[in-house]
This record gives sequence, C-alpha cells and structure tokens, in this order.
Amino acid sequence: MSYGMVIDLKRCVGCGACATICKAENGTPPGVTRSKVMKAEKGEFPNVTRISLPLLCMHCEHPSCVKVCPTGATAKGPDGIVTVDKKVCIGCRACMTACPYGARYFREDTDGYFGETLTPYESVKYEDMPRGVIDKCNFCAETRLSKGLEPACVQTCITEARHFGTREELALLIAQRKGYQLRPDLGTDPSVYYLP
Amino acid sequence: MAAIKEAAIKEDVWIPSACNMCFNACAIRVHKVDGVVVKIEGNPASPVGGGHVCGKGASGLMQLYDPNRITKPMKRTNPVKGIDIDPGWQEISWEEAYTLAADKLKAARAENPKYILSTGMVTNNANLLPFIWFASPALGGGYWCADICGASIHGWYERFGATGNLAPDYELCKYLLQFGTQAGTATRHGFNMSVRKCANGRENGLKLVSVDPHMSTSAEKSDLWLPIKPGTDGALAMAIAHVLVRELGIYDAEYLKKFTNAADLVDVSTGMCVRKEIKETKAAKPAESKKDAPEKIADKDIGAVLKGIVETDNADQTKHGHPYVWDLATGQARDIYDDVADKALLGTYTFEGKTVKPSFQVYVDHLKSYTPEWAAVITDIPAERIRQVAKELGEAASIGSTITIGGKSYPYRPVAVDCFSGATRHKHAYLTIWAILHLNVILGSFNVPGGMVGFAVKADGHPETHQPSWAPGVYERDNMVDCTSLFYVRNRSCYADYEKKVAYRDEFDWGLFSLQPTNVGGDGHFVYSQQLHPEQYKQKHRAKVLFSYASNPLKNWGNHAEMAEFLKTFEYIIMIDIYKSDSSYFADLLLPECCYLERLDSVPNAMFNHHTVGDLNTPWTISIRQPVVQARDNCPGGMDIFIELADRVGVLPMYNSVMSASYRLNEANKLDPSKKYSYAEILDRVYKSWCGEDKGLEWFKKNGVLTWERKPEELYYYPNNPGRIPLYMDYHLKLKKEVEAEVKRVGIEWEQLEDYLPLPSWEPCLDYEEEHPGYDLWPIYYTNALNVDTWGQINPWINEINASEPYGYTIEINTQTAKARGLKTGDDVVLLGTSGYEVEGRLMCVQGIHPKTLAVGGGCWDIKSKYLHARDRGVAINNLFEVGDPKRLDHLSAAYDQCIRVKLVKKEAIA
Repeated sequence: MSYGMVIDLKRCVGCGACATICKAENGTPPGVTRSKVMKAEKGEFPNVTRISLPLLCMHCEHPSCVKVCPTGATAKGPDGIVTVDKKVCIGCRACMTACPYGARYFREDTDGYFGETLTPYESVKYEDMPRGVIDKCNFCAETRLSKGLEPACVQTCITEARHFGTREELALLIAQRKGYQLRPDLGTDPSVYYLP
Repeated sequence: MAAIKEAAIKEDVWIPSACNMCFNACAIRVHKVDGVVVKIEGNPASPVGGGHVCGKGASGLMQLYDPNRITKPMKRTNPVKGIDIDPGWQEISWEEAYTLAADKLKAARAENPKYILSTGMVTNNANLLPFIWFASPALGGGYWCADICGASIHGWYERFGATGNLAPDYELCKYLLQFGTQAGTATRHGFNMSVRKCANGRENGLKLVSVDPHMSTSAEKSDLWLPIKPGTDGALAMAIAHVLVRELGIYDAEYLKKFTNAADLVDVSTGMCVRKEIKETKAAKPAESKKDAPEKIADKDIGAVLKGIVETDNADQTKHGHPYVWDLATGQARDIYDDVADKALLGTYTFEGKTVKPSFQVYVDHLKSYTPEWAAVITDIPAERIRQVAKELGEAASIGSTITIGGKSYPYRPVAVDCFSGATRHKHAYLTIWAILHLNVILGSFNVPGGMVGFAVKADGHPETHQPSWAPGVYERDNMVDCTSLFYVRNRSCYADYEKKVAYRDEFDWGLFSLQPTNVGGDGHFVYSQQLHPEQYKQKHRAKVLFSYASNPLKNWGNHAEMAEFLKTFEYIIMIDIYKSDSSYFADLLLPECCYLERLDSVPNAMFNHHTVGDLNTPWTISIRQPVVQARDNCPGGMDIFIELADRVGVLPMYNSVMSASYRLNEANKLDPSKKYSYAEILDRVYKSWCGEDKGLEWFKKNGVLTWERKPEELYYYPNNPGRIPLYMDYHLKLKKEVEAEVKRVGIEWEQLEDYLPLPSWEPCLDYEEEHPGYDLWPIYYTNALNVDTWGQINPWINEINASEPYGYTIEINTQTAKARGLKTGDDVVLLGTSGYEVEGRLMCVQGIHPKTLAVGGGCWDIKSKYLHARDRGVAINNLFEVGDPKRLDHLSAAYDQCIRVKLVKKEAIA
C-alpha cells in the first residue's frame, strides 16, 4: 500500500494556501517550503497562459533520494511515504541533488522568521527542526495521518482541488481524468498525480 | 511533537473565531496547546470559508507572534513630522493616552465637532461600523473611507441588484465575462467562498472570459483572455451591446418589459421619460419602504452621514406621476402600473403631441455608432473577437429558459458580466462600470438564477427572532426597486435621492459629496482635495483632528509626498493600529490595538451583504471573533478603545443609543444610554437580540457559529418581488441641470457635465492620447490571493512566497516590448510619470501582458523607511498619481483615475 495524492489543476487557482498551512501544521523554518506553488508561463503573447503548479514531495515508488543516501536516513516506508530520520541524517545533501522535484531542504541555522530569538510558536514547533539536516514533506504522517486526518494541504485547499488516499483508491480518478505524473521519463514513478 | 511531549500537555483546545488577515472574516478554529497557538484552520461549521483558510489565513500565526507589533501607547516628542524623521516615540500609560486623546477630541468638539475627521479601511470590517458610529454620530465629526474600493461599482450594483454587492451565481452560471476582476479565482469580497463555487462552476462547464491587460489569476484560469488596453473596458462593453442588440437581436424582451423601465416612453425632444402631470397635489413620498417590508431601519442619522446626500424637499417632486408605456394592443399610452399585456419595446409613437419612443428604442438608436470596428481601435481587441464573445455570451444566456427551484419556476439566465477594481480606476468610471454591468440588463440576468445575484438583497432573519432582516422598498412613482445598501444594511432609494434638489454644503463632511447623488456608494474621495484646498471648494474650514483606525492613509491613495502634505494639514493625529506604519510618521498619538486572535470584535460578517457571498448552498451565518490568548501587554481591542474614549469625551449616551439602534437591539436588550458597558456585555445583547435569549455571548464563545437556511426567494429577487431596475436613467439629465446651476452659484469648478447621460457610454481617460513623446506605457497594479494591503509583505510567510515567485515584487513588462528597447529581466528601471513623479523597480520580462502595459503587485508596496521592517519589497506605483488635483477624480462616482502614462528608462541612464 502506498499513499498518493491527486491535484486537480482545473480547480487549483495557485493561491498558496497549501504553502502556508503546511508551515503552520509542520512548523517548518525559513527556507523550508515542503509545499509550494511554482509559477511559469507557456506560449507567446497573445497566445499565452500562466501555469500554477503546486509542488511537494512526490513520494516516488522508486525514489532517487533513497538510493543516494549514504546513511539510510532517507527511506521509503511500508505506507509509501519517503521520510528522513533526522537523527541519522548527516546533512550531506546528496539527496537534494538527486531529487528531480526540488522537494528537499537543508536547515542551515537555528533562526526563526524574526531572527535568532524564536517566537513562542517557533519555540514549540522547531524542536523537531534541528540545524544541519534535511527536511521534507511526509504527507503530514506524524502530525495528521497518525490521527486519521488527511494532510494539511488537502484539508485547507480552498478550491478542494486535492485528493488523498492510497494509490489504489486514486487510480480510477486518475484514469478517468487522464491524470499524469511529473517527469515520468525519469522512472521515479511519483505517487503525486495532476489532473489537467 | 514526540509522544512523550504530548503526554505532558496540560491544555489542548480548539477555539472557534474569525480570521482578520483580510476583510473577509472567514470562520476559523484556533489550536492552542499549553497557551501557545500552534495552528489556525478553517471552521467547517461555517459556510464562510467552508472549513478552509487561504494562504493569508494560515499565516495569522506570524502576525500574532510578530515581535514588531506595537502593544503600548506612544506619544510623539519630536514636533517635526516627515518620512524617516524620528518621531521620538515615548511610551506612555493607557491612562495618559486616553486622557490625551479625550482632551484633544473634547477641545475640537467644543469649537466645532466637524473639526474631527475620522478615517478607516475595510481592514477590520467587523469593527469598522462601530468605529464609524463612534466617529460620526457620537463624536459628531466626519468620516471618509480611505481606500479606493469599488467606487462607482457598488452604486451600480445597488441600482441593478438592489444591494451593494453582487456576484455571479457561479454554480449555475455557464458564461462569465469578467472586466478587471479576479473574483472567483483570487480576490474580492467573500473570496474564500466564491473561489470554491467558481471552481465547481468551471468544472461543470462554466466558460470564463477575462478582460484584463495583465495575465491575472482569472486570466490564467480563463478559457479566453482578452488583453485589453488599460482604460478602455467601457468601449468593449458598448461594442458587445451593439453586436447583441443590433447585429444579433439578442435581448431578453420579457425581462426588459417586466423588470426594467425599457418600455417606458421617452420624449425624444427632452430625453426625459413622459410622466403624468400632477397638478396642485402633494408629491408621492420618496423612498418609503413598502408596507410589508420586514424592517424599516431607524438610523436616519447614520444613513444620512453614510450616504452623503442632502435631505431637502424638492418642489419638482410634486409635478410628476407615473411614467407611461405604449400598449400595442390598443395603440395607446398607459400607466406603467396598468396591466398591459403587449408593451412596446421598439417603435416611435405620438402622445399628447409629443414624439415618444420606448426607452429601449432610444437605446437601440444610441448603440448605432458603438461598432466592434470602432471599439477594436480603442481597445486593441480585434473586431472578430468582440463579435465572437458577444455571440457566445448571447447564446449562453438561453433567453426564455426557466429553472425550477423549491417547486417554483424562475427565469434561468446562466450568464454574468462582472467587474471590479481594474475597471474602475479611471476617469469616467461611472460610465464604464455602467456600460459593463448594463449587459446584464439586456440579457435579463440580474437577480435571477445563473446570473448576477446580490449577496443579501433580502433577509427574513433568524427563524425565531426574524432578526436581522431587511428587504428593499420600491420607489413608487417610477416603480423602481430601491436597495438595501452596502456594508451596513439600510433601506434606501437611489431614485428618491435623485429627485432631491442638489444643494452644496460648505461643511467639511458634506462638501463635494453633496454634488454627487450619483455616488451612491458614498466613497469620500474628494476629501483630499477639500482638505488641501478648502478655499477652492468654498469650505468654511479644514478638519483639525484626524482619527484613524486600522488604516495607512499615506499609502492608500496617490503620491506619498502629497499624502504627507495632506496629513500635515491636521493639527493632531490619533492612530489606532497593530503596527507602526508609514502614516505613523505623521501621528501624534499611537494607540495600539491587539491582534485579532487576542480580542473580542463586533460581529464578523454581520449584515451579510458586504463580504459573504450569497447562494442557495450558503446559509445565513452569525459568528464571533474572540480572544484565543491573553493580549500581549494586556493591549486592548478597538471596541474597548472606542467605548473608553466615548466615556471620557462625554458622548457615551449618544454612542450607546446609536449602537442600540444600529445593532437593532430588541427592547429587552437595549442599552441604557447612561450606563458604561463592557463590549462583552454589549455583544451579548446583540447576539441575544438576533439569535434568541439562549444564544448570547457565552453560547457563541463555545459554539462559534449559528446558521439557518437561506430561502430561494430571499436570494433571487426576481420574479418574486416588486419594482424594476433601470435600462434608462433620465434622472441624470435632471441632475446635470441642477449640478451645473449649483456649481455656478457657489463658484466652484466641476467637471464631466457631459457624462450625465441617460444611457451608458465610454469616454477616454485623461492620458488616453500620447501627448508627451516617449510616455507610451501604462503602469497598472494587481493583487493575488495571498496579498492584501501592506500586511502581506510584513508577514514573513507571505513575504517568503512573494519573494520566491518570478513576478513577486517586480515590474512586469512584455518581453517583446522590452527587447525592442534593449531591456531585459533584472534591469533596474525608473518609471517617469506625466505628473513629474517617479518610482523605481526591477524588470521581469513576461508574455502575459499587453505590450503597452507594465504591471506590479499591490501598487502601494515598498516601505523604504529605516524605522519600519518590511523594507524595499515591491513597487509603489501609486506614487505616480496626483492627489490634490481633482482632475484625477471621476466627478460622478469619486473613482480615482490611475490610468496614467509613463516613460520607462534604465536607472543607470538617469544616474
């Protein structure tokens, strides 16, 4: 069984709610953007459109990050979620280079958003954010999945563009709506799909 | 958190409240663990947000714990005021702060209450109304809304939709044509509600067409993007009307006859509707609510202050009765109230010796010159594209089709033509917005399923208390539907206002408002001109004390140096805010307000008609904004400050009376004018009056939200309710004469008398022609779902995203335009305005923009001061716009003409 996510780009308005709710839920420090929206353009004026592409860890079936991790800190669990054991991670950042989706972040220092002095919120949340190691999306495994809740980005999405479940559960929707993966040519087999 | 830590937790609660990261006040649940707020989520119990928070809402944590918030009162010690001149803030006790503020307000009042001018923004909509009640009726001073807002749009919404805010009926709509708005995808009132409804609609076949010079979010999500030349939206709308009516013959004849004045006969020699002559009789009374209206609102004082209309009787009122229509069956003119089965919409007739035409025929004639070819030259939208859109729009209207809802049959017009900020930042915006929204009149899509529908045109109230409730009345003479206004619901008549004689008032809070019965929305944007140049406007005096709540006037309007001069005209400035802002440099006394997660505010979303989108799946909602944690330094909220100041100034009895009337408290809960209540006590009475004795403040603190079902007949005004909307506005012709005579009598300059037309049109902005060689680009600004006002860049989570986006904080330019000028992404440039003002920024070359347009996010961002902490983020192009010169104002609607030309030069070329 592997968890996966489907993001409906027809509904998505690229608003960034997924990005800030992820910060709130997981208490990620500056520079760590587990969930984000990439903006780009396609075409030339006047036949042009803009694209908002929500990104997070793809939780690949064949993750290139796991292969390159020298300590085994990065691993793919039985639920398909790719995790980092921060006690084992040595911060070599090989996984950052290997990940084709830019889904990994290195915590350089211990600062918060207002400098060295952490706010009460940051003091509580950054306990799990040591410096010198890698941080990444884990589908809110500890903060929400363990309590029977779907990931924060799915819960808050203001257009209800996200679907979460096992890959088996999502297969029909993906087939019906011609869902696709990012860079399937790389052979990573992402568990995050997009609907056109 | 690790399991071992979780076991040690003593307190773990979720508290219902309301967001204040923008004005929409979505329902939230706040997670608090051992005294620390760790998360904000949407509250699924409320339709306001529907269980979701947007990117701003989740970022509220960064405001709550922002060490830069102010929490202690401060007074200025350096009398010299100016940007980056240290005011020498000295922290003082609340006792001293209240004494200082009360003494200044008392002294001003003793001279003349009108010396006090207050201002606020919609930043905190919940408290803004009680602030206005305090500032205006209680203190007796003036009030103006500092932001640019939907000047002219809300007024036209009121006339067409019978309430101040309308939205497409997204889930039933099939074709949505948007001019200069991102409602439903990124912005506007009820954004976090409409965005989901619009997504549902788009998924079910709603075609979205976006008219916008810049590829906004709506354009990104649209099926068709029309990159229009700035300031020309009205011309496009007129051409679409031309194609629909004159080329395709598509219009909703049945709707026009039943629900508009399209059949009313017009005297072609005067342009006025032909009305019965009534001799020697007392006039029909203007603006009476119809008898069965559930509530006649007893707030005359507040209504007068807010609407900016002079209350004078008009002898003309006695001269005319009902208009006529032409009965094709009998070949006679008949009273509009007669049961005429076959009314003429077209043709020319003779009546009482006059040549008359139905107003629709006048409209058809009027449209003749507005061809797609004419518009193509003006708008840069090809004629064939205009015809395509008009055809698709007309066909999608499915004229004649019906839909059954709740067992009743309604007309079904699944098309909507909407507009907002982008379309109104222009000279002649009154005409432009009219031309755009008027398309809904001819297609029959106002107030019916699938079309443009009011947020809350009619409310029957809570099923047990029948409060709060309202319905628009009818202006009996012309059978025109009145409106329930905007923001604070009150029954009012646009038409009765037109019938009053225009009379200039030289008192500050009236001034140029009194010449603007057309400015139904009531934006007080002539304040800047009046305060800077009172002699030019024959004003008796300037205001002396400025009292500002949750506003940053230096950045809200035009050129900052001119705004600084405006702020310097005041002898004393009191500002309530959660941060020091650019405007603080001109304040004498700073009263901090605590964060929204620390305070008890007035009822969020109350009155429903400003930022709570209505539709069948959206029940009525009463909610609460309550403290989740103890306020830092025990800093009070705005409501506490208003009450304390009212008491110390000696106006508490008046304030209590105004609150009793305005909150519509029932007998059991009315405030004793002589008693000082805490705001918690007052709010308890509000909830009990509206929701029943068992649902007071304690109930709301615990439960957060109360909802009840919205009925289809509350939502869709037609066909269940009386009155008509205008196809034709002969009222303007009467106004023109009166305004012209009045400004001549008083001796002040007034512009745009040629705009007082009975039918919509388009006129070019001031800078439409390139009069200064090289000034060939138009800078415009936009926003997105993550940013509102200057809080966005102050909030580090939002700033982090802004800074990481390719377009964030840049000046977007069309790639081909840049290339032709030897410019590239990353170049530092200067925009030189025709006004002589300039701003700097960094270029970003993009494809998604009209070649003659430059676009920036926000438009007012770029705090540069070394005393403020969100520095150098963004480009404040509003610095380019002149403030004091009224030529930049649309004189009919107080819209601000920001359609200016600039010259683009490389910074190094200037250096």
